[in-house]
Amino acid sequence: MRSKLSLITFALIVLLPAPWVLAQKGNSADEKAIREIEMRWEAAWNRHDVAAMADVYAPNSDAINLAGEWFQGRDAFRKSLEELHSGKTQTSVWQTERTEIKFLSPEIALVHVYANSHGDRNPDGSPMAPRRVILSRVEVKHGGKWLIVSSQATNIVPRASAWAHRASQIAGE
Amino acid sequence: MQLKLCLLGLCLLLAAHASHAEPGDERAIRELAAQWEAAWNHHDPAALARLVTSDADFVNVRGAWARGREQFEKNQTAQQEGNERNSTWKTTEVDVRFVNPDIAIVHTYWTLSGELSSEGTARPPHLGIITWTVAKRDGQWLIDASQATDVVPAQSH
Repeated sequence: MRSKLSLITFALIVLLPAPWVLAQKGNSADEKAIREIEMRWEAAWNRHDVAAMADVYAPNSDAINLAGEWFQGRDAFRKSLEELHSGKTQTSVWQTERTEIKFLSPEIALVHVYANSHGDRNPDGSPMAPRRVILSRVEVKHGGKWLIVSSQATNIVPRASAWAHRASQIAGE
Repeated sequence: MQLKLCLLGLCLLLAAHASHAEPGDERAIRELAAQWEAAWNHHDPAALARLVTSDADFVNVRGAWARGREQFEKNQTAQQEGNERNSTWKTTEVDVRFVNPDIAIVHTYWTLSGELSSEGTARPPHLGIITWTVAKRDGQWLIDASQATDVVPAQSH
């Protein structure tokens, strides 16, 4: 009896997958909710609705913008968005290109987003060229609701070598 | 009795997965940041690759996304033999925040000096910020995701 129970316990321990293996798949409702965050962010950005933008972030979230500024807490990030959308990005148009989701647990997801924007302005007020960005976000489901707890944005720099290669191809054509 | 003991043991084992981070975890994560700095300054791509998960996602300051340890190591090899061959990494601040006992978000400020630009000219020392998502796998903390952004001086953004 004892050995049988020990065997069962042992089998359970051995067969029990590690938590990160067990948790790789979120369900489709979670995936949908995470994609909706990006749709809500895009819509809020394009109507310059700072409250709605901040709404997809958790109160204690961390956000790092394209300039490498780190905002600790939703309120700090919201304040910076208010400044941006009454200045450099007041006519900016955001377009989400692609959202990729990796569940780290059923309640934690790593989300990569490709996006582009146009209609932004430089600090001197001159029009900024359209740009592409990539964001890494960590999102957490709390009380049934997904929110961003960490986000960092980086400008995508066109590859100099790729351009040079293309230029030499054109020159050779 | 034996059944109860066995079940209790099993419950404790399961509970351990869901408990709070252990006191040594934050120290281990800070050690990970120190190991990153050391491996970078030795220009050792294999040592850097040992600090990341097999399916790690790395987005660099140019917005290029390396997927998985192999791609990461390949890119690091090119960089450490190229523009980063004489660069010095200095981590100036590490902030750790646990999301659950096995996952944490780490913010790091770093400075890089001695780096070459894509044209091969010397870049002035500069400051950057990284968000790491770190995960505890088989008792070891590893970098599961990373994104880096250069910090732009305030007057120019």
